[in-house]
Amino acid sequence: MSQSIIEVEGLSKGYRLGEINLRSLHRAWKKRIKNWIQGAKEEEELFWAIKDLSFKVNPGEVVGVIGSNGAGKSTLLKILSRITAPTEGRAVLRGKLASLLEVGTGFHHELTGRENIFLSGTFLGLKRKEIEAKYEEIVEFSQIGEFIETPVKRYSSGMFVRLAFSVAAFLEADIMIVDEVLAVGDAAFQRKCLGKMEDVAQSGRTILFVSHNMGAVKELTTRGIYLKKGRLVFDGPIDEAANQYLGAATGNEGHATSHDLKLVERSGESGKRWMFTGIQSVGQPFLVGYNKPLRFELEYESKEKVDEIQIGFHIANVFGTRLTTCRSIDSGVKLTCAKGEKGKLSMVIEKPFLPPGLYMVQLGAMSGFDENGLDYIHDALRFEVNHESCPDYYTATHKDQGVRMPSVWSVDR
Amino acid sequence: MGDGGVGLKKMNSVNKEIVIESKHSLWDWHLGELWDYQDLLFLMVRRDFVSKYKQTLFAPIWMLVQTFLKSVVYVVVFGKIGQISTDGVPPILFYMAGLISFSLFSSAWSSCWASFSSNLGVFSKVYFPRLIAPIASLCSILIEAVLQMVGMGLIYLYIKTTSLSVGLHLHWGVVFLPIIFMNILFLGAGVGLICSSLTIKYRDVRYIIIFVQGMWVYATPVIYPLSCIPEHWRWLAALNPLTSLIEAVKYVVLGVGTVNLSMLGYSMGVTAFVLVLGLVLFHKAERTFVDII
Repeated sequence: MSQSIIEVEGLSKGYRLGEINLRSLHRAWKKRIKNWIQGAKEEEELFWAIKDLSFKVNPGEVVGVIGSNGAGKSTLLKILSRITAPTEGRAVLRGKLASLLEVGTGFHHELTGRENIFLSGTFLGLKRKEIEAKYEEIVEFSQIGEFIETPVKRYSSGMFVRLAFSVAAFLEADIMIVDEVLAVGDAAFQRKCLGKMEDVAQSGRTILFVSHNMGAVKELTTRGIYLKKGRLVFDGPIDEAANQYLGAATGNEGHATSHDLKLVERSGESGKRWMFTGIQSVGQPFLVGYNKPLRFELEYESKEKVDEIQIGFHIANVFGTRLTTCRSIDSGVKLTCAKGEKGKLSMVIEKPFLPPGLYMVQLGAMSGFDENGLDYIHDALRFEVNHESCPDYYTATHKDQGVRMPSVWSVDR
Repeated sequence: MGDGGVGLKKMNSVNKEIVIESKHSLWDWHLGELWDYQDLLFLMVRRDFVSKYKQTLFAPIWMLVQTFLKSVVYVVVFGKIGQISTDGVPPILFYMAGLISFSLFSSAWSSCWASFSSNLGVFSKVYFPRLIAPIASLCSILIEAVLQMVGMGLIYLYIKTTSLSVGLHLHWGVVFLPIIFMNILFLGAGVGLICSSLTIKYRDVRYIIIFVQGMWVYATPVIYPLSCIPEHWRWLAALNPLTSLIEAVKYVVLGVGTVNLSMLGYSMGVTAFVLVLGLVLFHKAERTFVDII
């Protein structure tokens, strides 16, 4: 490729923290006057949402931007979309840009579906003639049908989202910046949108795509940019970037199947008397098959004599929402540890029924009915359930279904 | 799809380059870019009208009736009770001319002032030249003012044909009415743009502005003619750049008013200054306002 289509050089964005009030005004002016008198240039203290980012994107590349919440993904997209200016550095975009940072940009609830297609389309950078040419296709894609002449305030939320996405789906630009817009609508429509995005990705456009949905990111993109606390940590093939990101939460880079728990963040009594010292996923890779048995080993150390210890093994999604709990007491296991005792516990979940996605293991231990608990670790280990081994991948990943409870069905006629 | 190749080819031919930098020049307003967004401007103006009068049965009538009724109230309060002179023209026309011109100013002021806050939703999600938003609301305001003038014209004709006694006459200077109107609009827009950037960070200013805005109508010859003011105090009234503009409207439309060219020149000068200052501040503010507001 001759010339890169996106060039980012030393891009930084700083935010001033704190409230705007008399005190901050006073402080700002004191600093200003002090700088002026002393001729010094005292820098203000800023919070850097992104710091010193540099990368280049070639025409036709489809790049996924990944990182946890607060890593600076949205800030980067906002700067490249020219919504806010950077504090330092520069970026050059060569070509027409369209950014999709939300679904339904520019929609007005009093206007009809038809009027909104035109309004939203022009907000997103289309010309009226271009929209006229594609109007029929957009309406058809949205499945709105006869409601197109009704004000959108009377639409159901599903209809609204479908129409809004349809406008976005027909954007024409050399560079597209897309932020998590796939996380809307019902499963069937999401599948359709993902298909449309794939078409766009394969049509030679340059796309910068941000999503928490690793399945979608991996599917659509070839290259990954992994941001952590505003800095670029990794830039390369998407699989490697995703693995780094998924593994990073436990402090280990790459595929983490075991984790030393001696120094991690914890709560409860935080292991003063009894603590978890390690966790290991046994005989399985980081990426586990759908509904395949999960085996774990937990290491512990007791600093005092503790009686009747019960262990809780919780599985949560990456946002920390707990999905299920496995208790040692359900297998009749209660530990009584002597001072200085070290040991190992094994557990297996034969049929996890977890839909594809990324999961977080949380560990808790308590003795008797002690409120505090001996030790609690919010993020002990992560693992991913492989979507390829899941027969109904799309419906499973795009809607947070939680655990699939085994159930028996019958039809009564 | 398979139209990606077309997209790339298009890019090479146009080769539009967008440079995003931390620094910016005070005078770089991207005015050329506004032209590319004329479709958006049109649709935004249309949206304003459509959404304002949706579910009303007599949409445009309300625009006219409001000013008319307000003028009727003024006729009663200031004309009959207050006994304030209207320079010998029918009070209803006198007040209508004043009110239409003044609301052109105050609406332009308010809407430009609100450009950031009322468009925050789109401003924080998509790029387009930010100036499009205030320009669109100015267009709506101008259209409303023109419609109101038409309404006033009808009343004018009615009075002219029914009561022969009134010495109403259009001045030939009425051909300059569009220029005077634009001047009033730009003055309001300039003040509004300045206010919009001042109120982003410290909202205190808002309360001062609301007070000043409310008082301005009394500092302007809307409910009284400039001729009411003693000669040696008129210079003070003329410091208000709006004074001569509104007197000029009344002069060309109703044939009454105290105008001279130096006062008009002063008003135009102030307008140009205020508008340029407003644009500079607006373009400075638009770059990072989403972080602060």
